[in-house]
Amino acid sequence: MKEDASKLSGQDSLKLIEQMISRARAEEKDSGIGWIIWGWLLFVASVAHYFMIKTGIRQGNTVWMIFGIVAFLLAIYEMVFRKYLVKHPAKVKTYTNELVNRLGIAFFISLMIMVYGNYRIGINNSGVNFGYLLLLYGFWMFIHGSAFRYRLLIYGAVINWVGAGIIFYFGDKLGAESLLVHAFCVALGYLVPGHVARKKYGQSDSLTSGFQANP
Amino acid sequence: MSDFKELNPVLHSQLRLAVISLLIGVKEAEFTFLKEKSGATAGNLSVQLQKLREAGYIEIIKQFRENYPQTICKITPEGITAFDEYVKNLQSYLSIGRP
Repeated sequence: MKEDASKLSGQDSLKLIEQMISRARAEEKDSGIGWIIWGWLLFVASVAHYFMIKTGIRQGNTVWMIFGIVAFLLAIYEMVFRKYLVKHPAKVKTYTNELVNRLGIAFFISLMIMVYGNYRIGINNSGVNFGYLLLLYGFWMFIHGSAFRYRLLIYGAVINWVGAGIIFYFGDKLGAESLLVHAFCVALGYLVPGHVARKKYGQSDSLTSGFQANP
Repeated sequence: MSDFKELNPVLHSQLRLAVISLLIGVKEAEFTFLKEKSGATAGNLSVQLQKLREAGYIEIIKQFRENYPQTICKITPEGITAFDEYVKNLQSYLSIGRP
């Protein structure tokens, strides 16, 4: 023990602390898969609904019903079943990961209540409805991006807020085009950061150039 | 030199300091994570974890997950205080060494 301590200088200790803290911090990363799945679901639903309106098919609610069922099943899988099905659970729990997981739960609960509220007060079929949704997406993305120090998500939040502003500015005059604004914001706000995060996540590997410590 | 405090001998060891530094920023970590990130051998790591546990700096939870044993480590409030003091003493030690 004494011999071990004597080998560790003050500078060595400081360097070691910095190195280990940065290795632990490297675990605070986002695979991007959630953004990609959620983003594509929203994008496809928005674009499909837009084309249905333009081609005179009055089944827009069916698209969102299918979207809601898929999103609900995915949320149940994520919250309940994933831990039983995924063979390699996380080897470390960070405070950031826990915070953003809880934020995600709060987001989905808020979203469900908002969708229900919009339906109840009759603005579910109004383009303005998508403005409120974009506001909520932006709120989620801004905090998530800030927690992971991921700028693309923060920019995504800004894009969603700008999209919400555009929809509120034009109101119902925007009509079906609000779906395109929604799809555009989702593509830039969710899909771009999601795919970039996915690419980086695949490239990053564990730091194994560790040391052999003295007993 | 009068304000120089001796560095905590429990923490002033390469592997124990590495473990505490890894645990300081996370809620909990598995044994395999600590082994992977520190590059230590399983035997050596087990011994050093035991020393940290005896000092009250970490909590070790042994459980089974899907029929496999799992060892989870968490830093305790005493461990956080000790690490904080160690870093402060280290900083004062390094500043004393400066011209």
